[in-house]
Amino acid sequence: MLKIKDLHASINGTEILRGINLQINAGEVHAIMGPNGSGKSTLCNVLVGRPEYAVTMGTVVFKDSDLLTQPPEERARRGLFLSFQSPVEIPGVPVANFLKAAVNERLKFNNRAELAGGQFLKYMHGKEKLLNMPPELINRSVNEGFSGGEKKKSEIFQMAMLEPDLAILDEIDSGLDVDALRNVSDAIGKLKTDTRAMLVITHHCQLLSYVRPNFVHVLSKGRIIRTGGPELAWDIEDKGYDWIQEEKP
Amino acid sequence: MSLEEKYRELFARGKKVLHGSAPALMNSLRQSALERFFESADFNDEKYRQISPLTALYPANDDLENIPPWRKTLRFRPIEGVRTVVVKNGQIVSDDCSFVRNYKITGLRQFIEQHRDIAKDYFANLTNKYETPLTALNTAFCNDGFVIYLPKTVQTFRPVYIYNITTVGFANYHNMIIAEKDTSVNICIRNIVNAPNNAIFNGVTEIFADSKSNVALTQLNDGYYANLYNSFLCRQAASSKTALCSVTFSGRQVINSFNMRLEGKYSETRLLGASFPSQGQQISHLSTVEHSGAGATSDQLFRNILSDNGIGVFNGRIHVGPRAAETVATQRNDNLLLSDDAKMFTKPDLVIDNDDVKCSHGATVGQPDSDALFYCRARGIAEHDARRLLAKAFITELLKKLNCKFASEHTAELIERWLDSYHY
Repeated sequence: MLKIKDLHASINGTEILRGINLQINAGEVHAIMGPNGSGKSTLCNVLVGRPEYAVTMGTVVFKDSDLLTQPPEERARRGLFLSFQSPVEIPGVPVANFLKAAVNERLKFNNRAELAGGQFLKYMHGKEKLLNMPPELINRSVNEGFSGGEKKKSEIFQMAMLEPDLAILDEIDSGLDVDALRNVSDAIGKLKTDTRAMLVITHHCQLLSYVRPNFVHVLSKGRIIRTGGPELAWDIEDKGYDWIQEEKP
Repeated sequence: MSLEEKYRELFARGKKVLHGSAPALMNSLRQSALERFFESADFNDEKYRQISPLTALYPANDDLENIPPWRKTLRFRPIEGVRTVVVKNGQIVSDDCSFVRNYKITGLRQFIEQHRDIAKDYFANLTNKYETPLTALNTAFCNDGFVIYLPKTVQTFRPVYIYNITTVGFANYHNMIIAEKDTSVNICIRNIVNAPNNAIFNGVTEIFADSKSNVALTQLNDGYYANLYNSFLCRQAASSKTALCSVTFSGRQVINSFNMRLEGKYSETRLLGASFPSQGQQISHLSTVEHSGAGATSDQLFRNILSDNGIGVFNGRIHVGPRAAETVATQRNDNLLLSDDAKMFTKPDLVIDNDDVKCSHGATVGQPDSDALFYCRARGIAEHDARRLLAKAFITELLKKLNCKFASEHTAELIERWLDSYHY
């Protein structure tokens, strides 16, 4: 589904990604861990097409098409989703209106009929029920005045609504208390399918114990320096990152 | 011929039209107002230089065929549950008042003839006291207008919708809203000027809100290629409430000025304004809120969306007088620039002569938030749609403050059409 080959990227002339290679297949869950400043968020931003980031080398193929030539909206319509680490507030735009526009853009792109008002509400209520989403959050403006936990929950709700093929979750667990983490993790668990791939960026093993990744990658200084199974995450939790960096010649 | 001579010639030529059937009360004020206009107006100011005696005072288009096709949907249509009054060139041509018996909406001339004792206390009362060159010009050339008169304790349930069409090249209409004690009314005015380029619409609305009255007025302006000057002057008695909202979609040069006099204790006012200057249009909001009664509250919010090379101006002033203890006053002006060539000039101002007050003022000018734009795009919404979404959200915040459901929905509908017609 996603093939990243020798990806180099910079921001304001500073190179952050220095040759990423990664392949994610349908139904797989990959986790990326790494110390602060290693390039985890940059990788997310490059994949969704944030204009401030410049790709200087490499290729990214998503669902057999060249991702890097597509504008951000096309990437989203093709089925790429990023759960933002710090989602912005958009005062005056109700969550429901925002999602209706987004969902219909994706349907239109895939040559499917757009959802009219009643159909959309029915679809949305189904997802609300699935994720135990408080209805009052949906009636408010996008992320406006949301607590940290509510913002993350809202991101996962958006993911549920858009039904992406590849979901990138950028530190979805940051700033959450134990209960909120469990709620968000449960919600992610419900959205795992045999065809949907996930790329989970995190610092902590707790989230990974819920979402159970197939592969764990360690990113350092813009490169993936080690790949392993879920046990790698626990090793990092115990020993930190230094031992991996030291092992690497 | 100097500009003054042109105005004088226009005044002399129009005397027959203006004076002929007008009440003595109106005529008695004209000449002196004209002289004061000459004393106070700066003829270097472009707005006084555009007068064209050839088109002035005479109808230019007697129908609405010149309205661009996409605007035709804005034509008047009757609305259920609303008292609809159609005013053409300052005169009431129809009034759906079959259910209304306890208050009247009449033409200004007719009102002055029928209620001389009431009219002499109100007509030009505020314009004389707080005169500007534009209101002096209006008094000198005033032809007609409408009056909404609410006798004591009349509470209106249906909103009043005034569809106000102007087709003449030089229009000076004077409207009055007289709300006596314990009354309430919701008014929405659709103000359309379909006149030749550079035509002048110079309207005055005097509002008298007696104690415990409640007046809400929303005015939706489309001046197209005309110059549109609206002066609202309002005097409030104790515990009265007013809410004035002015939304301007088009006009060559537009000035919406508000002069609010909070004289009574615990009176309240809310001033809202929105505009969409584009393609060389200049739209200004000027507000003066004078707190002279104790415990009064004022809340101002003006939001503008500027595009192309549109120009916006906000000049707001709150003055809290020495007797106005416990005043609460807020003033805010936010502006969204959709292009690099649009310009906004904003000057929020506070003058406080009392220690016991809570006041705030502020202004912002900015482009659509790039993070919010990207967030929308990352969800599949194209950039131009995202810009439209953010522009709509920006103006929706203002609509939330409109309490009248009819006015709010009608305003939202017109704003939606403007946003749909704009290429982001």
